[in-house]
Amino acid sequence: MKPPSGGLFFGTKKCIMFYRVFVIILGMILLVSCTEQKIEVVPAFYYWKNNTSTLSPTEQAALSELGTKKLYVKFFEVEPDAEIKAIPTAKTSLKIGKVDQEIEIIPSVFIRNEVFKNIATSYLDTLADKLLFLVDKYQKEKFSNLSSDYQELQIDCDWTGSTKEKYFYLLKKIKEKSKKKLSCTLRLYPYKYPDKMGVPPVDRAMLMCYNLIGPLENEHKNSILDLKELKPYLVGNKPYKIPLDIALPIFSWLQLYQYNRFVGLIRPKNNNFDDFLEPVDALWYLVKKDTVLGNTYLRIGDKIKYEAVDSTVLNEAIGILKKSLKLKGATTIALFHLDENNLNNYSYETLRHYYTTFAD
Amino acid sequence: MRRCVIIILLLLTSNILPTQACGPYYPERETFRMHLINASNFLAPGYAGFAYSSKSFREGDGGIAAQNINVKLWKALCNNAASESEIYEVLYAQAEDIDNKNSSNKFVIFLQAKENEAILEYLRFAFDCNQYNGYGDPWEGTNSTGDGRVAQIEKAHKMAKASTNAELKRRYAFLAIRMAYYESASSQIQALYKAFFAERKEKNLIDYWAMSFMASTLDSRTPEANYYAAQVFANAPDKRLNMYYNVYSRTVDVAQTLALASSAEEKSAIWALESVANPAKGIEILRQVHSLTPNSEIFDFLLLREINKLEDWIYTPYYTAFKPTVSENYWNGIYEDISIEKRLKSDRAYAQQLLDFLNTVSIKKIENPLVFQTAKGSLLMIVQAYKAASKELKKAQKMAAKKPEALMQLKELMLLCQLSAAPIKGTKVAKSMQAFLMKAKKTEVEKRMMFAIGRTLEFQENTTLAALVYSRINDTEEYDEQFYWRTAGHKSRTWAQDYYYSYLHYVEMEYSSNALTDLIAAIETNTKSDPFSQWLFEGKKADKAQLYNLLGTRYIQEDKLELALNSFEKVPNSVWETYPYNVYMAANPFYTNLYLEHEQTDADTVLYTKVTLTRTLIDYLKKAEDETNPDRDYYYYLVGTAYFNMTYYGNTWIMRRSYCSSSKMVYGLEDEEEFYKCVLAKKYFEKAAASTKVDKFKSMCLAMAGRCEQYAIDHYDWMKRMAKWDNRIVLGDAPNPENSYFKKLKVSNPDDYEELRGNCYSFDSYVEARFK
Repeated sequence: MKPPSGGLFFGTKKCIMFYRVFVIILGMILLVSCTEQKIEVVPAFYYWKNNTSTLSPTEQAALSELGTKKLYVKFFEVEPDAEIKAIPTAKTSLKIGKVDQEIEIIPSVFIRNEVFKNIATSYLDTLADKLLFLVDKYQKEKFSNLSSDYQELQIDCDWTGSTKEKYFYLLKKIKEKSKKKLSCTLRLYPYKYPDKMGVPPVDRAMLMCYNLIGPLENEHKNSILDLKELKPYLVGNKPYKIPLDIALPIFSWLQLYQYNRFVGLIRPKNNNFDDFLEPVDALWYLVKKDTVLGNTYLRIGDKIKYEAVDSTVLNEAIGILKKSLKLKGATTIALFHLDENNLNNYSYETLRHYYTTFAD
Repeated sequence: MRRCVIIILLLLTSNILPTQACGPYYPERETFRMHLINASNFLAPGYAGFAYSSKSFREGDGGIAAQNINVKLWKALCNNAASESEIYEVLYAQAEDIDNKNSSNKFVIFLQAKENEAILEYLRFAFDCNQYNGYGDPWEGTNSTGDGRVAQIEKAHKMAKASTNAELKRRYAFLAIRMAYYESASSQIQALYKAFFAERKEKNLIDYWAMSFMASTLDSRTPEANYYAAQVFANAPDKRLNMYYNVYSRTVDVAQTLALASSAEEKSAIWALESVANPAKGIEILRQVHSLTPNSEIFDFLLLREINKLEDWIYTPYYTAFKPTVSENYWNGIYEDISIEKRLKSDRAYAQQLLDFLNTVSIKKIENPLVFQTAKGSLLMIVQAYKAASKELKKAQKMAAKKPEALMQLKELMLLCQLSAAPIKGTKVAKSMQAFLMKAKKTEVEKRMMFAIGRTLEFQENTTLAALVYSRINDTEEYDEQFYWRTAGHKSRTWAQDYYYSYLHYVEMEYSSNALTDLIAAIETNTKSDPFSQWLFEGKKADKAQLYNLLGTRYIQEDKLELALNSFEKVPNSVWETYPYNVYMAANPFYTNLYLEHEQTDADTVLYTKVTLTRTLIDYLKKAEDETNPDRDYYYYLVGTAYFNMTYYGNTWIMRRSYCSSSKMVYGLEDEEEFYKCVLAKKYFEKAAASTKVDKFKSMCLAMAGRCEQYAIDHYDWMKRMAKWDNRIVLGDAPNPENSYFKKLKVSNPDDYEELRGNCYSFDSYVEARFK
């Protein structure tokens, strides 16, 4: 028998059969592996305000329109205290009676890193108890209409090398005692240097992709999100040891400079400044008309640095994140933060796009 | 000498740049805010926390004010049987036990009378309730405070219902409401408020205390919440802060809130809270409040807030930050910020508008006219009508006879007013002002007053007296207790320190050579022994060496070498042997090449001081200008080199500046062009090139002139970038981007051009060629 011309020789019918099966299996493997690349996006928001008791209609509408599944609510902050070692502050006033769709409230607690500097490890067990008690209490008092219990708890802390041990110990204790899914926030620096900063003992970590530089650090850079700052943190890393979720910024602020000195941050209601600001350079404006913004009186001649995250930049950041992080399975994409002033700057379509792009 | 490290040179004073652990210290905005009226000295108690400032509102004296009101209510309740201080001792100082049978306190005696048993019982109950007022454990866990609170609320409620004394009835109800608040029982608060307080027409502090808890149960951002917040704000001084931050919302339409008000007082209170939240011009609200309640405390409070705003908007730039308008010549060269000038004009017009409004009101109809009269005097000062201001302030002084602190301030204002009205030049400090300056206790306002006096003297060209007054403002080394000021052109020693707190820093940057000469002369010749002169000149002899150094440096900046030498010679030689001169003059100023900047070289075998450098420079310049001198080309080269080294790019920049950083900065000094564009160095290199007969030496001199020109070209680009941030920078015509000296050299001698520009090691051989 002459072999067929060209290609690999399999010889018999059996071989041809085998070839077909091989192709089908290969195709299936490829299909499966391609499918695995896709993640299931869980749309989420952070709610970080502590002085408002209800969601505004705009905020409620955004949750509904964007199909938000999770709302990370800052329940309180923990600060160091000379007398009682750690004290809860900035307690939430928010109370949600009813929303139009099913939404999971994730209690979030911000712990100031300084708490760990002067606290004995032995006290951390007590701190875990106190923290969980207060979380449970607020869940029941303020959000029980949505759910009598919570499934996940998130701890936010900018830990350092020197506080790592104590912070991680507290996380372990919280996990043990709560028996709940525990997540924590993760800045890009500890993400980039896990050997030095450790990997927190939690179920998931929320990678916070903003504020990589201090607000006043570089007058030419956007301190909320600058891609040149972002990229080096993400490129060339080993996969992180715990699954990641992503937090993206949708907030903006104005830095006010009077007599060429920084005076403070103003959170604008929208980004329409044409009436009173004149652009002088990238990010920079000059006040051309006396204007009251919030509680601040902007005077002619004052200088403003306006920092917001442009959609193009955020989309590019999403591209970098998708390429660099090996996101898997159900991944929460959380926007920071739910506030009608922030929402005024984006259409639902734009915000929805931030979520869906991760799944594309 | 490395120029990469930013170092503050403590050249002239022993004052150290204040720093904090987290970085360079920069005084907060409040330290610059000019205010010559301390509103608390004029107002009824309870408003201090809301006086205008750049800080957040604070508690201030609200607590004490409320205690005093409550004490008065108790005095009425006990039919004046006890004095206010006796009641205070029982209620707040806890210095008296209400059950002490032997007490001599008349309030205790009153309480123990059989007929007053109900009142005594109430007080016992009220004291007992104190333990329930609070959240106890901030973690809200083991809440011992809460144990028994529900029962106590119920008891208070029952007592309120049962009490036949109307005043006690409400007080019991208030106790119940307050405990219900800590129990987070909002609906109970609302029910109690409705039952005991809502319908009352004649309200007192207890009603407003109850109202404050009622307000906290309402949804914020509603007209109702704002209505209650405003009423409490106006009537319960200790609750103001809470109402402002936790209940009131600026987003609510004021018209809707006003619709809930049923009296002029209630409307006025709503406007008042709106005005407190308004950081901008508030005359329209003032008019509203005045038409509703012309004789109210709240109008006085808002009026003084408006005056303090105007002081900030006008006096801060006028006295501390911008160009004065009095003297033109002295301030030549200082950039005038057009937008700020425009702003000042508009703010003065607003002050006049406010004044016009006050002038429509007959002062005879005002029950307590002190604030009104003070405001008129102050506004007239702000609009610079000093004579009229004096008249009004004199009237105000008569009204302040019973308010010693207010009276003192009015007298100080009067001093500044009279000084400001004096003609330019030759101002003398009146005896009364001397007395004030010597005895000033240096409160915030007094430091500002001293500065305003000094500044006014400076505006009047009495620069010596001004400097001496400045020298006495900050006697403390504590950086957070200093008064800081900025200046006409914000001349700066560093970017981080464009402010002053020391007169020596100030005169270094801001005084002309003439003004410095006058100051030194006054210090040297002063023999007066009167107390004011002694106070003024105290310790100044010790500053002489520093002042001569400053003067010499100023003359170098003005390129007056002989005068500079005279001044430097008055500085003790030991100064030059110490830091910073032993570091920043440790390179040969008569040596450079085409590449080095601030580098020490092998040629640094001779150490120069400011004296020897200036003397040598004068000598070389004479030799260079002597047409008979066969080496004049070389001397021109040396002179050019020295001038070059005294610029930003050279090794002896300390001849012109006491501070230099690797980052360029705008100093605002007269020789800014020279410092960054090497104008004189270029001139002398050019002269060297023109007068030499040696081709290679000529090429080298042209290359050096080219280097200077290149710096000028590059500097223009830097200025263009900086002009966006610094409005002092006037760009002028753009230079030709092509370097004319390099071009000329390239055409006339392309080999030398290539060699000098391309070979790092060729420079010295070109200099040596001059002597072959």
